[in-house]
Amino acid sequence: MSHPGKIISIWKLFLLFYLFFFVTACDKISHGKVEVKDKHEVSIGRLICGGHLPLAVVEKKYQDDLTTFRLKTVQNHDWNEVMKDLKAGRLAGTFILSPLAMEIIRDGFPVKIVLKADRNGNGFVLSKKIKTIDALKDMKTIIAVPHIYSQHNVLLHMILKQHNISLDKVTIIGMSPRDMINSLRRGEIDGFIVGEPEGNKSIELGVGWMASISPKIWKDHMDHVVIATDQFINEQPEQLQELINALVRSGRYIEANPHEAAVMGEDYTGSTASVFEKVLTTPPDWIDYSDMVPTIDELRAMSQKLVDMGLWKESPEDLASFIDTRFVEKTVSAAK
Amino acid sequence: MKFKISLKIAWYGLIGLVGLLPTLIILVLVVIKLYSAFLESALLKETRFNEVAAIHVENEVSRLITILNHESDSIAYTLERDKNKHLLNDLLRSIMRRAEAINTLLILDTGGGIISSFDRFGPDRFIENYQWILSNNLVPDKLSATFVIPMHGRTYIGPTTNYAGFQLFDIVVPVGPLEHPTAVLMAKVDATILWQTLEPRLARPGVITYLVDRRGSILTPHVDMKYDVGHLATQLDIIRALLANSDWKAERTYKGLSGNIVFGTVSPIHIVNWGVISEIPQQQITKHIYNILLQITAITVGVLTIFTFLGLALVKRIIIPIELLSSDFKRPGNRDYSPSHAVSSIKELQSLTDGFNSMVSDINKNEQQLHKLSFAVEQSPNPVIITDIKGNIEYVNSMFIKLTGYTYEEAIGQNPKILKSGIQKPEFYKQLWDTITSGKKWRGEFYNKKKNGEFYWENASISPLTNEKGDITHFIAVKEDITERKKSEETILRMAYHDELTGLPNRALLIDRLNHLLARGRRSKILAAILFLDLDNFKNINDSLGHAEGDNLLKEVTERLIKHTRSSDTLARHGGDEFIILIEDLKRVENITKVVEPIFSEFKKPFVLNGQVRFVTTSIGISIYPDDGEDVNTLLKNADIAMYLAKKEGKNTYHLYEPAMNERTI
Repeated sequence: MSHPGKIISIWKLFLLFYLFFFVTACDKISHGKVEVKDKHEVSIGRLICGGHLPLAVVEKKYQDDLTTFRLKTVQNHDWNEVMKDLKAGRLAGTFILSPLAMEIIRDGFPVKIVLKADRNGNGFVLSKKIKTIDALKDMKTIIAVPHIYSQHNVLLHMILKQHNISLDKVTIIGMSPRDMINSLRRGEIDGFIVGEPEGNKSIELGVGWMASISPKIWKDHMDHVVIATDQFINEQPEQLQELINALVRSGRYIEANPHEAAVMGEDYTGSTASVFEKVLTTPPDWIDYSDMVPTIDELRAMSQKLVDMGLWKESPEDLASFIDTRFVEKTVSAAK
Repeated sequence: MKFKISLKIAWYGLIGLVGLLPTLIILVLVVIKLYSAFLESALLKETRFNEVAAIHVENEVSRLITILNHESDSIAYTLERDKNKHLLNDLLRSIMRRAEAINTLLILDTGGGIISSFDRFGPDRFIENYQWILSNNLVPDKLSATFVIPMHGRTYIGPTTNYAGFQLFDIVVPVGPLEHPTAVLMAKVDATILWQTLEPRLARPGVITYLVDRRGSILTPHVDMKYDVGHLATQLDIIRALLANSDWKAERTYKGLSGNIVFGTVSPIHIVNWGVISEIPQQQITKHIYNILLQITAITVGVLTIFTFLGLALVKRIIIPIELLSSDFKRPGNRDYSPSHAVSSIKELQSLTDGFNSMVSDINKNEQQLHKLSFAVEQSPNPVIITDIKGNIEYVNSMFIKLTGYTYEEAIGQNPKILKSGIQKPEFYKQLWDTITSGKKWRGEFYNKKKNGEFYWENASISPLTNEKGDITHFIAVKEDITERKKSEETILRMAYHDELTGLPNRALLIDRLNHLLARGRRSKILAAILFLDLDNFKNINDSLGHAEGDNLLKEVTERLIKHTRSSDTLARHGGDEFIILIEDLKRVENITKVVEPIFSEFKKPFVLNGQVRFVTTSIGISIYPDDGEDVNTLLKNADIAMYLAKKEGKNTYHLYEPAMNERTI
């Protein structure tokens, strides 16, 4: 009579039906799935970033469809940590900033760009204290980018050039995207340019305003790319092929189902579904997960930007060796 | 209704369905609601606590910033004056003493070089250790945010980083004028120590409260925690919610860092971009709630039980008299009209008992009355038929059966037309039905036929029977067999108008017919003759042979006269030995002889009286209508006169009346 367990049993009775149907439904769903728990794991690096959403879709939706391996994503705080993991051999590949990928390849690190992760997808956010982009001409400011070798830095240079803003007036610093909003809120920085959803989140939190979006600065620019180590490419081509197949499939799923993808990727994008759904749909080309085959032309264009910025002295001759498109081309041709 | 249940079951069912079941359902719903409310309240309390913990962390970080900013002025002054190393070191020691969480302090010049540094090796042991700082890459890059931002005169709080197991984050403040800082003061703060300085104020038994950074790494240890500091715990939904800035529903349970099922609350710490999470074992919260709910349930069930028993007692007081009454209601069916003894203190039930007793008494009286009436009808000397509105027989009494020969079973369901003789015309029956269907009573006589084909007369009275709405439902026919009466009437009628001896119309009938004749004669021209016959010497026969033989003679004479009388004529005995023949529609007076002569021929034949042959003659006087009179008396008188004249002329002859005769007679 006085034991609480008896009351618990009342709840159990009431929940019995729901539980029964729920369990039944779960059983139904699990039928036909391939058990992959014991499969070899392939570790792919990522940050909490909107450009890495295809990884969330693979992990959460297509994981059980993978037949040759089990995908493990390794989340890091900033690109330096990703580089550290990659160089330590803890990753078979990673999602990465496209200029940073080119930089480490140029430096001789044995990786290849095997896939574009997304296009566009970046926003230029300024503090509310700065009313226009042109106002940057008249004040010393600090603008954060995720990395010096980032498409964001390239985009920032482009926009400063477009507005004739002297680089003397703007201090560019590298900062983890996850720290940017707080940093802007604390007044440490005056703005940032980064991949979504940080821009929209900062607007939602009332700490900044969207000065520009990347399609307006450089339409269809190469954003994040997927690199794979030469070891992974050479020793596990079957698994790499399946990974690329799954990522391309995920990209298509995101384009077709922005709401579901946004919900699925809340902890990958670091954003509530409502905010990231807005990123995916308004405007529709703000971030694009289609057309994921990297090209020499795109690499050449990015390379030239790095030269223009003074980060590189000259564009490498052998840009073709930076990429390995065999796998993604096979995926695309199979889809046709 | 096919499904029948007893009142007792219905009442108890009602109590169960309307009372107990809804109460139990409501109780369960209330308990569920209360559980939710208590849980919400408990979790709200936890959330508040968590928010307070977050505020404490923010305040502590703010305190550190304030200390650094405060000391930066002294550092700037020292750097500007003489860069006195000892003084700088004293300042750094002072900071470290006031801020236990600071692990390392650096003063960097504008080129990023180290001016002074201190590292903590114990609570009050600080070492200037360049090598350790350099080997652990703790000096920020010149182009990094850590250096650039303070060099722009702004305070910078860096992300938390794992340095050899220490969870360190930078607080960097500018030294000197904000427009042109002369150095930066950088503190590496140990998140774990920072938390431990606050924890004694925030710790609660059984609750694991810990900090995570915005990567999802655990920043603070706990004895009950299964993971080490620095562990990336993004497998926990609560941490994922923190990373996504999405709402976390505190009532969700999950397997916490201790391995137990817990409720979690999460609050962001914006200043350092962390989150503080408290995991409260589910049982810790629910145990208290269950105890309260158990008490509420026990009280409710107890009260419910008491009221249920009170309700059942009341129901019993209702059911017992009703059951008694229900049993009593069956008794009148068995002609048991004794009163019910059901007694109830409930006014309506007692009224029901009284009503029942009154009703039973009335039924008893009515039944006795009905029995008498029924017996009377059954025993009535008259046939009685009851039909429905279509005429189908529903009841016949024994007299009907006796009279008609039909059995009860044969009669029931039949129509009274089975008795029809076919002699009475359809109009008769139509008039009958028109009368009774219009609601009126009909009286009349039927000439009907029995089952054996025998005809009979009956006098009938048919009355429609109506219901309370006035609609006719039945017809009741009460009949009387009047066949004998009819026969008697005929006899009496016959005796009044006929001679008993000869059976011939008597003088009364003769006069009646004469009157009819005269009436007809007044409407149209007719010729008729009245023959007045008187036997000659009849007195002698009577005297000699006796009156019996005289009567026989008269019968014989009658038979012979009948032979020569047309059916349209009337032969009547006028009295004694006088006969009158009324001949209607005489064409001519002369034709009278054709009537008279056969009569005389008959009288020429001998009569056998008392074994003797006798010849009897007659004298006939004749008067002619309208010649010899236009009224009965005149015509009879004149015929009589003529007859006397015939007697006078020698008898055995006839004589036509002549007016002169009348004068002679007078």
